[in-house]
Amino acid sequence: MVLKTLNFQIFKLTLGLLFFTSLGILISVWTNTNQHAEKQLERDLFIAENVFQQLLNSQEQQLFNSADILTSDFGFKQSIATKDNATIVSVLENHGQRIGADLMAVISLDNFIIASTTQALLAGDFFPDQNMMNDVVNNGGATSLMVFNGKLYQVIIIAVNAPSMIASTLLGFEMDQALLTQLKNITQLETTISQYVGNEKQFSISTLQLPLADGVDKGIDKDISWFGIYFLNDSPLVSRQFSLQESADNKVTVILTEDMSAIFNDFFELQANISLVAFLALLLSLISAYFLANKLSQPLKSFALLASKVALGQYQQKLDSRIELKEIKKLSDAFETMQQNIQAREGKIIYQANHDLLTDLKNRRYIEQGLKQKFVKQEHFQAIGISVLGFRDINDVFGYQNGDQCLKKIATALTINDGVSARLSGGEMLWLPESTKSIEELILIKKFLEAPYITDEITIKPKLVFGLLNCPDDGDELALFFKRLNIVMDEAKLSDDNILTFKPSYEEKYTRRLTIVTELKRALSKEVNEFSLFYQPKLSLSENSVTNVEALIRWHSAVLGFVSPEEFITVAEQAGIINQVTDWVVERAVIDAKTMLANNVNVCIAINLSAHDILNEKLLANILALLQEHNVPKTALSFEITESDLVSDPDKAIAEMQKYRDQGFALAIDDFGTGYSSLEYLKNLPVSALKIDKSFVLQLANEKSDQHIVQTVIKLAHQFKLSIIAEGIEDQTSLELLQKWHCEYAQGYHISRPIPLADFITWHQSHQKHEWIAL
Amino acid sequence: MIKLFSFVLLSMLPTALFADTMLVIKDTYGNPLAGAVVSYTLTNTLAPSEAPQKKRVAVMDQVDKQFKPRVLVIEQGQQVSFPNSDNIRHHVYSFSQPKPFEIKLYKGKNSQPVTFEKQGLVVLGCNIHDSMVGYIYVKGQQKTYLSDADGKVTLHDKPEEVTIWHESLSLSNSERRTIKLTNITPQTPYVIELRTVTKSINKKSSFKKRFGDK
Repeated sequence: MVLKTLNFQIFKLTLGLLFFTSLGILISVWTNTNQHAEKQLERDLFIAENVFQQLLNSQEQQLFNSADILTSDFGFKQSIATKDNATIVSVLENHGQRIGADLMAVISLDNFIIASTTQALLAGDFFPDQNMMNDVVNNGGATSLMVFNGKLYQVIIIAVNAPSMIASTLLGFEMDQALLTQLKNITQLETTISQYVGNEKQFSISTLQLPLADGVDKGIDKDISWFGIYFLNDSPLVSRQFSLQESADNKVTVILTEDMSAIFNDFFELQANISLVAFLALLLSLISAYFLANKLSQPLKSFALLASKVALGQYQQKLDSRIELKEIKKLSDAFETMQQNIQAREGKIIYQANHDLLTDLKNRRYIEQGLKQKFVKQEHFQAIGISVLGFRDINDVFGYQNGDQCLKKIATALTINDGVSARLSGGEMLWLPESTKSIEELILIKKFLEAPYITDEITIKPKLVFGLLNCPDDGDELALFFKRLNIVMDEAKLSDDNILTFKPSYEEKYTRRLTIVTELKRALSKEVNEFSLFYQPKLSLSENSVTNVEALIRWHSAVLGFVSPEEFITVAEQAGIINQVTDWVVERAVIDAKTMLANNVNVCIAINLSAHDILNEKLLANILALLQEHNVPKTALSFEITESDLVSDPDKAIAEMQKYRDQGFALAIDDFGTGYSSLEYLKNLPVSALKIDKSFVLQLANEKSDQHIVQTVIKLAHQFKLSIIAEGIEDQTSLELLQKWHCEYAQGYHISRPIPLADFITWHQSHQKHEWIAL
Repeated sequence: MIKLFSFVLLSMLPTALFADTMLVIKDTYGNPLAGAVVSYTLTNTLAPSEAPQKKRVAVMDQVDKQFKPRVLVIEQGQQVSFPNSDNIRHHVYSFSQPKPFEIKLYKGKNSQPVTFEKQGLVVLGCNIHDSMVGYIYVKGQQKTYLSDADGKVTLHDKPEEVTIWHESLSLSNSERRTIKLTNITPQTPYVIELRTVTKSINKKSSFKKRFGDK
């Protein structure tokens, strides 16, 4: 394909060039030769004319000299004067012979021929040219070309003075073929002399053969053309004409004729040579065009082949080194570079497809492939999921750049180990070691990975958790593997153990957690009525009446059955839906408060708030709105906050709590004593009561240590002007003790378990006058 | 020659005083024709006053390659000598019908005078010197006068017609023209204009020049 087209192009080009060049040369030669021939002809004719004139002049001179001598001769004069015709003739003949004249005559003053040596002029005849005779009389002599008896003569007539003119002598040379031939030999031109009387040609002689001679008139001043001569059968004779004598009745012209064939023969030869050369050159060019095209097309073909291979993904090809052309070499080099570049790019793309760009670990996609392989082969292997705790928070606190660099550092440290590791997402990584690692080994490795990330400005101390899977037991296909990995990682994050190996129970837990979340969400959507609020009364020991209740949420899930609040609250907090739960509780409590008021039960409902709730700025507004909506006074509600919950962000918590206080709500610290708060900030807590954790109260009657603690706590609280609520009272003894120690409020099974609203209302009414403490 | 003529004329003067005719001869261009021979015949001619006297020998000299006088009028039978005052040779000849002759004249060598028995015009040439031309007019019975350099001639008669010869009248030198004299005013010269021809002797040199003569 390529060969043909290229070949054809080159061939076309060469052919065209050659053709036009040759044509150009030929035309140029043609015109030049024509011009040259014309110039040549001009010159030849000009020279010939001059030669002709010169010859005639010299003959004339000769005639004159002879005539002069003759007419000066006394004897001759005497013979004329004495009319001695015989003598005259003999003298004429003698002189004529001396010079080789063809005409000798004596003419009288009356224009009669007295004597003549030839038949051309006969004695007694009238001399035909009167004008000439007049010239002789006036000028002493005259010359002319004249035709006598069908022959042309160059004639001179001189006066014979004895001492005045008595006669004239005529001498003449015939202009015959011999003369013409002599002229032709000098000039190399065909010569034709013609004489005209008026317009009629009376006489003509020529060096040309007769038929040509006649036609020569047509060739006068003709334009010559090589083409015409060779192809159109034009006559090759070109003539120029000039006059020797111009008188009307005696006009003599000379036609010089050149045969152009000679000149054109040379020209023809030249043209033939050029054509031959052009033809050979063409042939040569065809051959070389073929080879050139080959030289071009061969590499092009192989490039095409190479390109198609590259398209198939083969980048390792070696190009033909037998390259001679610079351009092809360039192309070859470019091709080589392209190949390498493609290969590099492809490599890069493949790398990027398989790697995580930040950490240079493998990516999920890649490791999934690897895992699939292992599953297929039913390999036994250990999989270690690694998570950076609170990676989101690290990014938030230190900035994404720092977070990334920290992660990168961890990843780099990870790759020191054997096996393959991948980054799954965010701060999650997966490591598949070559050989199973023991917990001890992992502890060391973990410690190494947790090395702080230090820059000039910040220091990050990452905390990691490891979740282990042993495959194929813990998972023999991808979906299951990743599910279980998630489970073990979640568990590891939640538990205190930083390195956790998967147990099936985790899955159950996890599954249950998921279910709880799902069901919670459903329950919260108000389409179902699975929640209820139970109320546990708080006895005021000083007033011996129940003035407060604690609201406790109860959930009967259709799917899960009864779910303990500890469980689902925890799950709700982890799942981030605790706010919604709290919202429900608050709304319910407000409605129930209204019901209580309607039933003449004046108690303050204490609602539990978690850390999330406290830090939720919208909650307070919500509460106020609900109170407003249901027309319930603020005094109907109070709030309890677990001590441990305050620890995470104490300052903000305090600020928020203050807002509640500002609104007039009473706040209590729940489970006091179990948290790790400092006594310092007890001063600052905007609370009105402390709730002692039940663990201290349950065995109060029997445990001395507990009694000491509780006593101390009560005293402490009183110092800070805080009330105490003791939770977990199981017996009367404890109750009396607490009363003795001036504890303000008591809550526990001894007083009442948490009971639904309706039950509580009934209980409250019935226990109005109950004597809790025997006085 | 002219002196002789003048003498003759003056001697005739008393008798011919009122019988003079003054002629001026010119060519058609107005140039005076010197050396014109005027001759006429009177009806009442006296017997030739010039009775056969002993004729003197006329002289036709060669001076500076020219004949001197150019035109000589002599009587029939008179002799003419050719003294050749030049110091070069001359070969005088004539082919004229009245007297064809030739004499080779050398310096110092006196040549015999030549007798001209017949009347008519004799043209003299020199074979050595082409441009030497002279004329001897051998008169007959007629009265003959020669015009002077101004072409003037005074006749002691009143002829009715005169015959004039001049070298320029014809190529052949034989032509003489007869002019009738009419309305002659005495004391006033009568102008005769004659047509002339150009002679070739002087012109030949121009033709020669074409052929490189220096």
